[in-house]
Amino acid sequence: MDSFASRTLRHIAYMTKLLGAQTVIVGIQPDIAFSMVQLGLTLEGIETALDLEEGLMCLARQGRYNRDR
Amino acid sequence: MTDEVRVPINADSDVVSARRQGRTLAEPLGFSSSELTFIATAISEVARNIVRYAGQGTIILRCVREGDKRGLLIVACDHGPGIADVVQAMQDGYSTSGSLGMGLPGARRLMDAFDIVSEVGKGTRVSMRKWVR
Repeated sequence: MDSFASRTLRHIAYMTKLLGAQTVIVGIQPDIAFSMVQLGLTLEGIETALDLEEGLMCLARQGRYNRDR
Repeated sequence: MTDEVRVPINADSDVVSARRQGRTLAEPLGFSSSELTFIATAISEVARNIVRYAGQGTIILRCVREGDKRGLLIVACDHGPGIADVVQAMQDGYSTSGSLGMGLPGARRLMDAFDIVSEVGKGTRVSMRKWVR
Protein backbone atom coordinates (compact mmCIF):
# COMPACT_ATOMS: atom_id res chain seq x y z
CA MET A 1 0.00 0.00 0.00
CA ASP A 2 1.77 3.13 -1.18
CA SER A 3 0.56 6.73 -0.98
CA PHE A 4 -1.12 6.45 -4.39
CA ALA A 5 -3.09 3.34 -3.39
CA SER A 6 -4.03 4.94 -0.09
CA ARG A 7 -5.31 8.04 -1.84
CA THR A 8 -7.36 5.89 -4.23
CA LEU A 9 -8.90 4.05 -1.28
CA ARG A 10 -9.70 7.35 0.41
CA HIS A 11 -11.32 8.70 -2.76
CA ILE A 12 -13.53 5.62 -3.09
CA ALA A 13 -14.63 6.01 0.54
CA TYR A 14 -15.46 9.71 0.06
CA MET A 15 -17.39 8.95 -3.13
CA THR A 16 -19.52 6.30 -1.45
CA LYS A 17 -20.09 8.74 1.42
CA LEU A 18 -21.45 11.30 -1.05
CA LEU A 19 -23.85 8.63 -2.25
CA GLY A 20 -25.06 8.24 1.31
CA ALA A 21 -23.30 4.97 2.02
CA GLN A 22 -20.84 4.13 4.74
CA THR A 23 -17.45 2.59 4.02
CA VAL A 24 -15.51 0.42 6.43
CA ILE A 25 -12.08 -0.68 5.28
CA VAL A 26 -11.19 -4.13 6.51
CA GLY A 27 -8.35 -6.61 6.23
CA ILE A 28 -5.27 -4.37 6.36
CA GLN A 29 -2.41 -6.74 7.23
CA PRO A 30 -0.19 -5.84 10.24
CA ASP A 31 2.92 -5.25 8.06
CA ILE A 32 0.92 -2.99 5.77
CA ALA A 33 -0.48 -1.04 8.73
CA PHE A 34 3.08 -0.63 10.08
CA SER A 35 4.38 0.64 6.77
CA MET A 36 1.39 3.00 6.27
CA VAL A 37 2.13 4.62 9.64
CA GLN A 38 5.83 4.98 8.75
CA LEU A 39 4.86 6.53 5.42
CA GLY A 40 2.57 8.96 7.24
CA LEU A 41 -0.59 7.75 5.55
CA THR A 42 -3.87 8.24 7.35
CA LEU A 43 -7.41 7.24 6.50
CA GLU A 44 -9.06 10.15 8.27
CA GLY A 45 -12.79 9.99 8.61
CA ILE A 46 -12.93 6.43 7.31
CA GLU A 47 -13.74 3.59 9.62
CA THR A 48 -11.50 0.55 9.66
CA ALA A 49 -12.01 -2.89 11.16
CA LEU A 50 -9.96 -6.03 11.56
CA ASP A 51 -11.92 -8.26 9.19
CA LEU A 52 -15.22 -8.56 7.34
CA GLU A 53 -17.04 -9.83 10.44
CA GLU A 54 -15.95 -6.84 12.53
CA GLY A 55 -16.63 -4.48 9.64
CA LEU A 56 -20.22 -5.71 9.42
CA MET A 57 -20.57 -5.36 13.19
CA CYS A 58 -19.46 -1.75 12.82
CA LEU A 59 -22.24 -1.12 10.30
CA ALA A 60 -24.78 -3.04 12.41
CA ARG A 61 -24.03 -0.76 15.38
CA GLN A 62 -24.83 2.24 13.19
CA GLY A 63 -28.01 0.59 11.95
CA ARG A 64 -26.60 0.46 8.41
CA TYR A 65 -26.66 -3.31 8.17
CA ASN A 66 -29.21 -5.79 9.41
CA ARG A 67 -27.46 -9.00 10.43
CA ASP A 68 -30.68 -11.01 10.41
CA ARG A 69 -31.62 -9.94 6.91
CA MET B 1 21.62 -15.70 -7.95
CA THR B 2 22.06 -12.37 -9.70
CA ASP B 3 22.56 -9.54 -7.26
CA GLU B 4 21.53 -6.72 -9.55
CA VAL B 5 18.28 -6.15 -11.39
CA ARG B 6 17.36 -3.25 -13.64
CA VAL B 7 13.66 -2.62 -14.07
CA PRO B 8 12.57 -0.23 -16.84
CA ILE B 9 9.68 1.94 -15.64
CA ASN B 10 7.28 3.13 -18.33
CA ALA B 11 3.81 2.40 -17.02
CA ASP B 12 1.83 1.70 -13.85
CA SER B 13 2.26 -2.05 -14.34
CA ASP B 14 6.05 -1.62 -14.10
CA VAL B 15 5.58 -0.22 -10.58
CA VAL B 16 4.15 -3.57 -9.51
CA SER B 17 6.95 -5.41 -11.28
CA ALA B 18 9.65 -3.27 -9.57
CA ARG B 19 8.24 -3.82 -6.08
CA ARG B 20 7.88 -7.56 -6.72
CA GLN B 21 11.46 -7.86 -7.96
CA GLY B 22 12.74 -5.82 -5.03
CA ARG B 23 11.03 -8.17 -2.62
CA THR B 24 12.42 -11.23 -4.43
CA LEU B 25 15.97 -9.84 -4.30
CA ALA B 26 15.69 -8.73 -0.66
CA GLU B 27 14.07 -11.88 0.73
CA PRO B 28 17.17 -14.17 0.73
CA LEU B 29 19.22 -11.44 2.47
CA GLY B 30 17.31 -12.13 5.69
CA PHE B 31 15.00 -9.14 6.04
CA SER B 32 11.96 -9.54 8.31
CA SER B 33 8.54 -9.62 6.73
CA SER B 34 7.75 -6.04 7.80
CA GLU B 35 11.09 -4.83 6.44
CA LEU B 36 10.26 -6.52 3.12
CA THR B 37 6.98 -4.61 3.10
CA PHE B 38 8.85 -1.35 3.85
CA ILE B 39 11.23 -2.03 0.96
CA ALA B 40 8.40 -2.86 -1.44
CA THR B 41 6.49 0.26 -0.38
CA ALA B 42 9.53 2.56 -0.79
CA ILE B 43 10.20 1.09 -4.25
CA SER B 44 6.56 1.64 -5.10
CA GLU B 45 6.77 5.32 -4.12
CA VAL B 46 9.85 6.14 -6.22
CA ALA B 47 8.65 4.05 -9.18
CA ARG B 48 5.25 5.76 -9.06
CA ASN B 49 7.02 9.14 -9.11
CA ILE B 50 8.88 8.13 -12.29
CA VAL B 51 5.60 7.22 -14.03
CA ARG B 52 3.81 10.34 -12.81
CA TYR B 53 6.46 13.00 -13.34
CA ALA B 54 9.04 11.70 -15.81
CA GLY B 55 7.00 9.20 -17.82
CA GLN B 56 9.88 6.79 -18.00
CA GLY B 57 13.00 5.80 -16.14
CA THR B 58 14.79 2.90 -14.48
CA ILE B 59 14.91 1.27 -11.07
CA ILE B 60 18.16 -0.48 -10.21
CA LEU B 61 18.05 -2.99 -7.37
CA ARG B 62 21.34 -4.28 -6.01
CA CYS B 63 22.46 -6.43 -3.09
CA VAL B 64 25.24 -4.58 -1.26
CA ARG B 65 27.80 -5.34 1.40
CA GLU B 66 29.65 -2.96 3.72
CA GLY B 67 31.89 -4.78 6.18
CA ASP B 68 29.60 -7.22 8.00
CA LYS B 69 26.49 -5.41 6.87
CA ARG B 70 24.33 -6.71 4.07
CA GLY B 71 21.58 -4.80 2.47
CA LEU B 72 19.68 -3.68 -0.56
CA LEU B 73 20.41 -0.58 -2.63
CA ILE B 74 17.61 0.92 -4.68
CA VAL B 75 18.36 3.58 -7.27
CA ALA B 76 15.56 5.28 -9.19
CA CYS B 77 16.67 7.46 -12.07
CA ASP B 78 14.90 9.34 -14.81
CA HIS B 79 15.53 12.08 -17.33
CA GLY B 80 12.29 13.85 -16.51
CA PRO B 81 11.61 17.49 -15.61
CA GLY B 82 13.53 17.32 -12.32
CA ILE B 83 12.51 18.82 -8.99
CA ALA B 84 12.90 22.59 -8.59
CA ASP B 85 13.06 22.57 -4.79
CA VAL B 86 14.30 19.28 -3.38
CA VAL B 87 14.15 20.51 0.23
CA GLN B 88 10.48 21.35 -0.21
CA ALA B 89 9.81 18.05 -2.00
CA MET B 90 11.11 16.24 1.09
CA GLN B 91 8.51 17.94 3.33
CA ASP B 92 5.45 15.95 4.37
CA GLY B 93 2.40 16.99 2.39
CA TYR B 94 4.19 18.95 -0.33
CA SER B 95 3.13 18.03 -3.87
CA THR B 96 3.02 19.77 -7.24
CA SER B 97 0.47 17.31 -8.61
CA GLY B 98 -2.30 17.24 -6.02
CA SER B 99 -1.10 13.92 -4.62
CA LEU B 100 -0.70 13.32 -0.88
CA GLY B 101 2.90 14.52 -0.88
CA MET B 102 3.95 11.66 1.37
CA GLY B 103 5.93 9.63 -1.16
CA LEU B 104 9.50 10.93 -0.87
CA PRO B 105 9.50 11.85 2.84
CA GLY B 106 7.69 8.59 3.56
CA ALA B 107 10.19 6.53 1.59
CA ARG B 108 13.00 8.22 3.54
CA ARG B 109 11.38 7.14 6.83
CA LEU B 110 11.00 3.57 5.58
CA MET B 111 14.67 3.21 4.58
CA ASP B 112 17.99 3.49 6.46
CA ALA B 113 19.70 5.84 4.01
CA PHE B 114 18.17 8.16 1.47
CA ASP B 115 19.73 10.51 -1.03
CA ILE B 116 18.20 12.58 -3.79
CA VAL B 117 19.87 14.54 -6.56
CA SER B 118 17.76 16.44 -9.05
CA GLU B 119 18.33 19.05 -11.69
CA VAL B 120 15.55 20.90 -13.47
CA GLY B 121 15.38 19.82 -17.11
CA LYS B 122 17.88 16.99 -16.58
CA GLY B 123 16.22 14.48 -14.30
CA THR B 124 16.15 12.97 -10.84
CA ARG B 125 18.10 10.25 -9.08
CA VAL B 126 16.98 8.80 -5.77
CA SER B 127 19.24 6.32 -3.91
CA MET B 128 17.97 4.39 -0.91
CA ARG B 129 19.51 1.69 1.23
CA LYS B 130 18.12 -0.75 3.74
CA TRP B 131 20.43 -2.84 5.93
CA VAL B 132 19.66 -6.26 7.36
CA ARG B 133 19.47 -5.96 11.17
